[in-house]
Order: sequence, then structure tokens, then C-alpha cells
Amino acid sequence: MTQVPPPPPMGMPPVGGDPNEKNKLGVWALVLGILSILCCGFFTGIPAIILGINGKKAAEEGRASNGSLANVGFILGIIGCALSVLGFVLQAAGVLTYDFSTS
Amino acid sequence: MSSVSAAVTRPDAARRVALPVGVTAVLAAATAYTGIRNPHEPGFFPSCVFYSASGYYCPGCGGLRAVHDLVNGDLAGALQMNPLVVLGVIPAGIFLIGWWLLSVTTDRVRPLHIPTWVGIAIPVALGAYWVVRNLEPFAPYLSPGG
Repeated sequence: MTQVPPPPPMGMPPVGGDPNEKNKLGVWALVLGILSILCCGFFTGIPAIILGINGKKAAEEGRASNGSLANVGFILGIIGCALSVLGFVLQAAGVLTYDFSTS
Repeated sequence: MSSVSAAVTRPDAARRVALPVGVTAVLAAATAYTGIRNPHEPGFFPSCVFYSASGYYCPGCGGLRAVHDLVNGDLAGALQMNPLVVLGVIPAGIFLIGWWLLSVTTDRVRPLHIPTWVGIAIPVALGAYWVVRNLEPFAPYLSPGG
């Protein structure tokens, strides 16, 4: 082989690509989504949402086989974010008081 | 798929290994810090927003205190704070980190595949734990306040 084929252009799914290539997106979305429920709130919830969206997109493009996993991470990230935003709003409104480290 | 047998000989091997090693180092440092500082007392760690807002424990409440107790060799105290973190989250975290490190250093370990039913069962179990640990009969065993 003297000629190296050019790499596929950015953003284009390779034809006949690896159907598991982007599965790590779904796994990461799930792990970070779970962490956002475990008191981490939007610190891991926002990455979970972004990775979840990308994971679902990759599944639609045939580059991932775990779109449902990405979807679960996406939903968990939204729940975690919503709860922590709600908490911070209540805190800003002076409704709640900090008394003890509970994380 | 590449047929290169030894992943570590690839030119991008260092980059592949850097992220999991970095995450492991950060987690180890955070664990050590949690062991040195005392999350049983206010000051060094932020409060759980959910607990502060509602008065109910979230599934992770007591987790930092459990880690602190574990680092200092108090298994019973750790289980009292948050049994799910001690028996579930920490073993799962070690498993995930270990698998990740192996999958980037050797070709014999494939990237982790999580079945869909596991991805659904874990959040369902978390939700159940969330409710049950705030119920009167179970609070003494499942919540840090009990």
C-alpha cells in the first residue's frame, strides 16, 4: 500500500462504521446522571445531559448501540439539575437554612 | 477495527491512558481529603442542597461521611451513614475505574457494555432507596440521622 486513504471528514459518520464506536457516550451519560442524583446536582447533571444528547444522536447515526442508556443518563441529568436549581433558588429566597454537612 | 495486538504500543496510547489515570488520581486525592477533613462537622464541605431545601435525605446524603468513616477504618459508622454508598456506589466506582484502566491498557478487556435493563434498574433502585430511607421504620438503618 503506497496510498493512505484520507480520513473521513469531521462530523460525518463513516460508512459502515463500528456500531459500538460511540457507546462510551451512553455509559458516561448514565454514570454522570446517577452521580447527579447522588447529591452532585448540576455539576455532573449538565455533562450527563450533553453526553446523553450526543449518545442518542450517535445511536441514530448507527455509531452506538446503547441509545436507551444515553436516554436514561439524559433524563437523570435533567432530574438532578432541576432538583439542585430548585434548591439553590429556595436558598436564594431565604426559605432554607444551612445547619449541617449532609453530603 | 485495528488488529494491533498491544494497545500500549500505539502512538496515541499515552493519550488514551491519560484520562482514566487522571480521573483515578483526582478521585484518590478527593478520598484522601475527605478522610482527613471531617464531614461530620459543618465547614469544610457544602451541604446537600436537597436536604437543606426539603429536610429529606437524598440518596447520596451521608455519602461523604461514609467515605470519611471508611478511610478511618470505621465500617460500622460508614454503614450507619449511607449503606448504599458503602455497599453499592463505592464498589461500583472501583469496578468502573478498574475496567476503564484495563480497557485502555490491554486489548483483552473490551470497553464496558452496560445492558439496558441495568441502566433502568439502577435509577429505579435509587428512587426506591430515596423514598424508603426517609420513611420512619427504615430511617434508623438507612439514613444518617437515624
